[in-house]
Amino acid sequence: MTEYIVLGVYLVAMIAIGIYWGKKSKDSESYLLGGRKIGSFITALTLQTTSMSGYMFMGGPAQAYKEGYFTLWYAVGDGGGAIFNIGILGKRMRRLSYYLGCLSPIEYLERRYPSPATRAIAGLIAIVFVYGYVLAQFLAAGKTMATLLHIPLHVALIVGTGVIIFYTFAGGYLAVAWTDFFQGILMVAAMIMIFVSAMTQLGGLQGMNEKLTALDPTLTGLWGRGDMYLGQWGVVAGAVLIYLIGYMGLPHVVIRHMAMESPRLAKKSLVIATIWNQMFIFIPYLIGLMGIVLIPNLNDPEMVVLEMAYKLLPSVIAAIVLVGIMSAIMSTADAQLMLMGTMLGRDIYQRYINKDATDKQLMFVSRVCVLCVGVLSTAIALIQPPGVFSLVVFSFSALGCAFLPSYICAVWWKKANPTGCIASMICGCLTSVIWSATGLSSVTGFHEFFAGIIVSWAAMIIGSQFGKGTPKEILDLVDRAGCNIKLPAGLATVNCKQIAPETAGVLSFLKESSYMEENGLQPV
Amino acid sequence: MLGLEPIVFFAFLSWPITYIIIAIIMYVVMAKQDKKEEAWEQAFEKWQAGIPESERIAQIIPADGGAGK
Repeated sequence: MTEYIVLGVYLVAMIAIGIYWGKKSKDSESYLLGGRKIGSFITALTLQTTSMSGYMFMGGPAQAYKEGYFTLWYAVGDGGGAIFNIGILGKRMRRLSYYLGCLSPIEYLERRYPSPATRAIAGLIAIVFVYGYVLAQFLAAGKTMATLLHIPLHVALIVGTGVIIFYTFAGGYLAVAWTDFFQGILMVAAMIMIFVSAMTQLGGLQGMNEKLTALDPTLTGLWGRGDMYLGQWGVVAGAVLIYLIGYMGLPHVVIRHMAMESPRLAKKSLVIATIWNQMFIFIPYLIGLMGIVLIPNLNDPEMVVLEMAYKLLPSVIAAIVLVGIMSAIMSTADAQLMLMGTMLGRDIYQRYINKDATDKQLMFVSRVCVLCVGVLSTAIALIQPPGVFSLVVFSFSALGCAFLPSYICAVWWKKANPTGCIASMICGCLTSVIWSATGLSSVTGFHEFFAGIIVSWAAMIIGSQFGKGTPKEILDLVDRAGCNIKLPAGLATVNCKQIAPETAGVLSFLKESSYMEENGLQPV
Repeated sequence: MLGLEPIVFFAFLSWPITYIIIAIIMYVVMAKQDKKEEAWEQAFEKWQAGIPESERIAQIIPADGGAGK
């Protein structure tokens, strides 16, 4: 009964946030991008919670339960993801998207790499694979609720996805960002509560490690249970890289940079996101390891976090853990649903169907698209549910391989042109899909993401040597986004701290004295 | 180290602290960069205001996003 009450309060709170922000979204820019007024705290948490799905509560700990410390290679990459993502893309992407006047990450690509084919191909890839991702998250939400509350799957799916669809439909980007913020706090709180109580039981990390080593020394080794990955550095590199750099290729994640209030907030967001990562990312895997000692012989390792919660915590707190799992799933699903609405409204409707659409029409169409995609996904999940985690890995890999080089080169490599972008998107996405579909991963020992990303980068570099270059006016804006335009000599700014002390002294004397005023000079 | 071999400890459990230190260093570097960029932006605006409109670096569409306009 406690679970029902806590979950009910949580779902009502999410709906209330949707209604509140729905009233504040007056135009398409505020509905689709939060009016580019998102502060550093919200940017940091929405970026990270969007990146982390229900996988962190179920898939990750289950893998640690099965393979031991080896699984922490994924956490090692994931922990530094925000540093790469915000450090490399944050400021420049925020500036360039603003200068180009873009509202969606696909429109951004089209304007940076101007060609009719860019938006068509990017839009097609994004819509197909983000849709796959939405479907997986919806199904995860339904399955989690059904299993934990002992209710039929169709009831759980309709309730769980209904709330996500409602607050995204009503409140748009602002509702998604604010719910992500609260969900991020809940996710960390839930994990820390289980972690602390399990640590107390086991006598700290040292106690846990000693007990694991006594059970099987390979569990605390570098290469997994029974040394199953002994010497396979390719697998280790793939495990670290996929989450270290992969998020830079996900449109529903990089759109967060575009919504930042100012590029100068990036540094603060980077620190907040990194601290949040360290509190959240390593703990689920460690809880999986603790489960080996505390709950051996678990039938379904994906339930290890929840079983630990019910074993170690009072029922009210265990119910909060359930809410934490739902938060992780919903914070990813809402961002993807929002992106689907943005792409279908801005990139399809306004681009191809009604070029003269008014702001109100665009907002209305985007809302209708959010509703339609949500309802369609729920219907498919009800009729023929596909596997959750295989769908997530498949979609993540295809999106990452298709877009990562294009987003990075957009702000860092002026030679990158439309031909390179199109080649990179097609080759990266196809390689990932073919690699995955034909089982080449197990044959070659290369993860599909690893193979796809290498091909995608190669296609970008080779493709950019051919075809038309990017127009000069766009390249000027790329330079402006990086503050790289050489200014006329007279306008070069000098910071007093950077020049010699003697010169700084003379300058300050001139400023204070009446000399400059008498001679009509202005301090720079 | 915490019941682990040193290599295992450094490979897995030293990262949270390392990443926080890297993030703080990044903050300091980016803060310095921000100051330079701010000065550059002011000079850039001044330069753009002083040259004929046809020679300015134009934005593709208005800065408000230009949605539906």
